[in-house]
Amino acid sequence: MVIVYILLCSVTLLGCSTASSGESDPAGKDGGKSAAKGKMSAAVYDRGNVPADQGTIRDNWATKWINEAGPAEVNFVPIPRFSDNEKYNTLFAAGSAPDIVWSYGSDFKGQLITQRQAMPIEDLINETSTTYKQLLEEYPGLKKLTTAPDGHIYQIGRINGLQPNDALFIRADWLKALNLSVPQTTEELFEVAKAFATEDPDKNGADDTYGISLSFITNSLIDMMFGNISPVVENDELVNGWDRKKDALAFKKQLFDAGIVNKDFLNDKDGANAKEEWVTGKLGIYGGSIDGIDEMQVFATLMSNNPDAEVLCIALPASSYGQFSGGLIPPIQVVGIVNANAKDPEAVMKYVDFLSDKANMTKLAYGDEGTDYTLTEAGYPALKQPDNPKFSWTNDVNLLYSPAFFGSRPAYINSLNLENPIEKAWLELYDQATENYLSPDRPYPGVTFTEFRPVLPKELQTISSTVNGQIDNILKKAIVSGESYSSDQAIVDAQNAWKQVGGEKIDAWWQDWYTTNKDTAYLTKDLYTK
Amino acid sequence: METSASRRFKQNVPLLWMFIPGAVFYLLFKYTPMAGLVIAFKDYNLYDGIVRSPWVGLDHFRLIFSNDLTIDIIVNTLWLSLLRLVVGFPFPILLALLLNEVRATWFKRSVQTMVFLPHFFSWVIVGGIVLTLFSQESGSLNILLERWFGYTHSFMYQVPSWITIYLGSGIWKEAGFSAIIYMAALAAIDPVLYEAAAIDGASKWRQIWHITLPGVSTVVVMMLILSMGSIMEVSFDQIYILGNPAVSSVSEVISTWVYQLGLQGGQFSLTTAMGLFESLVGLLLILTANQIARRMGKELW
Amino acid sequence: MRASAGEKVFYAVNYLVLLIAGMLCFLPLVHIFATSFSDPGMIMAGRVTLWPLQWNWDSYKALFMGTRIMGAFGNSIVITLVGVICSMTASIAVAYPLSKDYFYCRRFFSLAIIFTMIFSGGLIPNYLLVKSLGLVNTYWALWLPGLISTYNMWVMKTFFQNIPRELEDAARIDGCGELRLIMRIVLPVSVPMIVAISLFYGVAYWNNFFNVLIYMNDTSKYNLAVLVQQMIFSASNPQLAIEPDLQRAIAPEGVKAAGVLVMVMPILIAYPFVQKHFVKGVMIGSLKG
Repeated sequence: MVIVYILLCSVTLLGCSTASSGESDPAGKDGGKSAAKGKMSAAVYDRGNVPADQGTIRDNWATKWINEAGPAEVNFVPIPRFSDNEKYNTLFAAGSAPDIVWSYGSDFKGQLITQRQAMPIEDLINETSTTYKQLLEEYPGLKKLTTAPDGHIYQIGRINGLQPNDALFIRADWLKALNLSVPQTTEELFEVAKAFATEDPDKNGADDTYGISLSFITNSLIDMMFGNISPVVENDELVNGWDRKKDALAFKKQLFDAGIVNKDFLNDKDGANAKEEWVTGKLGIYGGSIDGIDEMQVFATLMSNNPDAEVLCIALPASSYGQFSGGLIPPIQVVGIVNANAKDPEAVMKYVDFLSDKANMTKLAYGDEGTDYTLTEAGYPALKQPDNPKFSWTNDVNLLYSPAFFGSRPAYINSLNLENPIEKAWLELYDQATENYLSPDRPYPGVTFTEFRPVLPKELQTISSTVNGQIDNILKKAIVSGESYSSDQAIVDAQNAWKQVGGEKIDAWWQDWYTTNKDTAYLTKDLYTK
Repeated sequence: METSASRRFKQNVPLLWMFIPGAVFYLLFKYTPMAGLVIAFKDYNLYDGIVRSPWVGLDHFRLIFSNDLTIDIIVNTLWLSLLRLVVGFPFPILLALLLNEVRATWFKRSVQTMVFLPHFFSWVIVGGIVLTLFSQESGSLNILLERWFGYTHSFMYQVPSWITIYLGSGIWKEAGFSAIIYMAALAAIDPVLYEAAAIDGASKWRQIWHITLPGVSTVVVMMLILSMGSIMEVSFDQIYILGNPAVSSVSEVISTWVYQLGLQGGQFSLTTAMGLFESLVGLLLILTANQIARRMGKELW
Repeated sequence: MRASAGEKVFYAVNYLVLLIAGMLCFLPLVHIFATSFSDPGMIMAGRVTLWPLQWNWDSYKALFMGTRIMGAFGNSIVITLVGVICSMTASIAVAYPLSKDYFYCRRFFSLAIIFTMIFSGGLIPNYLLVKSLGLVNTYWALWLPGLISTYNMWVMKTFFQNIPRELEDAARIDGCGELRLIMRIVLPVSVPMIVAISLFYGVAYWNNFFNVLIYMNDTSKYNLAVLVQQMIFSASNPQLAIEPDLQRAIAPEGVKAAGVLVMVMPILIAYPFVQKHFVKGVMIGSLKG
């Protein structure tokens, strides 16, 4: 018995000793160079898409190059893209979060700032920064956005240039077949969608087409048409916008009751069904995102299934509230913070400068001229091989890649091969989207871009997150409940729920914020300048 | 001359040697982290850490119980768990009993393997299957209904049918796997007992009633009591995948709320408070169940 | 013995019910199998039901080339095998003493252990503990905190308690010490239960997703569960690292189905070997022998 015991103990001790060596810091191995370079750690988003022959997201040609050519020894900490908040929260709680934290979520970053986990860096920038400091001066919007109400700069960002993101596509061949024109108003949209659903536009004798979808992106674009975003400016005041909610709801309900949409949209959590209907030619109007190469492939699949299809990208039809555009990529994007506990802030700042430098951005996203990319007529790098496995994931390493220096377009757009008819057609659609959605005549309906809204104080935040989910559920339930639940009733119920949890405090807070800050904060009108 | 006390001591020595590593495990990995439960009574923030965050006493609990929404969530969780327990509990037992009576070994083994499979599919996959079956527009069931009776039913968007689907899919997924325990128990019943009963002229039903059921009764009671302890744990994945806004009045449960507010929203104190409440309910239930079992002589401790 | 008419009916109904139950559980797997081997066009058109349409290896090609599935597979095996061995040893070591009514403070320990099933510190305290022990980014972060599942251990204890006293008494009269008693009598007689609990632990380690995600910093240490989940999470298009021609040719559903199948296969293969222990009459040998 005793022998067994001793054996077990020794195995455990062995296990513990190997365990402690497992957490060693790879960046700690250095030669004599380390005296010149600072040491730091940086987060890197991990989507599981780095090809095996390239290495891992933490150890590949890009990370090696950064460590050789860059100003600091960087230890990369992988953060799973779709469970990032959980991982970050545990790392912060354990005191082992990386020095640079990348995140697109303004609420999450706001939380870190409130909990004093973000380092104020305005002095650091003023005194030691070069490239990034210049960026701030050239783009005052960036400075405005990264400065918190208390006057400190806590965040870092990049310059995108205003770009379209979500686009509304319509089957132009169906319009022709039914002798209809592109809908300009929401009433016309309804009529067109109805015709698509009931008049057999693909002439196959079967009643198998849908007019429009209520899933995912298409759904949010419908909301945009009604300016249904909260809070919203009316008569120079910031209000909740209940009547917009009501009208948008009534419209969707109409669509549902008339059988124009797929009745199972509630279970179509990320629009996968809508996408499938679109590519198999069963859907007439569809909302997709055009900033990624994926949607182009969706388009390609549609065309290969339906060679006679013609697709147009249209501006959002106007409603009684005006004509708007939705789902944009803001010209400036705030993507990260510096950890308040970073041991070598100067190294971190140098790293930020390094990533903000155009030549380095080019190297990480496009590689070397000649071997990996050539220059387009406009002078922007275009990858010779659009899906080059060396670069498909590097934007997760450098979130400071600023598309504005590359024509304010996604990298893949620059790399399109215009000999290929699909890619040529796609570029046309992209240009249509640019024209439709980037004009201040058809502005973004909110008071400011969603990501740029200030973070609510904690008590209000708890109220807000729970009740918003509840209201969303009430409204969606109303859409599917036919006569038993009218949209008027649903709005009344939603308003009651809002009041019951003290939603009026939130309304008051927004109004207050607007009155105090409307001249200094970054608002929608700034989207169309710099 | 050995006294019974010293004999007992001698018997205990090897047992203690065996038990000590396990005790260390429980102390270290279970009890030490429990100290973290204090954050339910504090206003935890990352800057101050667990130790230095300020105390707020019962504030979080007050918040939870004064808000209609959270109370609804708690009630939903209790309801769904109870239903799941009451409806779902007998199935694995039934399955094990039926399988035990099969004489063709190949059939027994094949069915066993098949019913045991769904446990391995994540809810993402099972959810996809459920939706394929029950969707309003294109679900297989509705297509058949349309063809035969000319009407469709929105299974997923009405509360009663949704609850049925929720329970049914849960049973489908887990019954086969849970049956394993009962099958092991049945395998341990001495076949001599069956032979003796058959010789005495007992019919199949009487054999089941007098031999099989008592043989597994200890295990059944144990499983019942243990599942009381986890009654508040309504699987997050299942609700997240199957839930939708139309049935949110019953499908919003504690785990989804904790996930949204806690892990994603960083409100650790509030969600720990809720978790503590969940545990207390579990404790109460498990103690009660054990007391009842004691009356039948089958208590766990 | 001839079965009576009533018994015959019983058997018939029994077979039918079990057949239906089995089919219900098996058909979805067949569908996934079919999807993974079907031509992507067919998958997108929604025409695949129970048989592959236009047999096609592309989904598997994409899976094996575009993800590090082989590495993850190996990791899963290591995690599971070592985990099961450690957990079973520890669980038996705790369950056995608790099953003896002469064990000191038995009731106290039992209560203390059940308590841990109900109350838990939550993610943050556990992470802090694991970190302070230096176990982050090693597999010990998976094996140690999860060493004993109280639920499983309790089942073991109950089974041990149900072993007839005569067996133990007979052995003791023969002069058996505690350890020999366990090795020679208790364990052999408990084989069905041991197999069942090993299976439970095995499945838990195999499917372990969240802990791997939180505690591992090297993506090369990820296991199969995390990999498949990441694929499913990347919305409709798993972002694979393969040449564009293949990327355009595959259907995401097909690749996901292939991933699911790869995860489920080993268990399907191992299970029949394990099953034979759930047969009636395992006890015979021990009593008569």
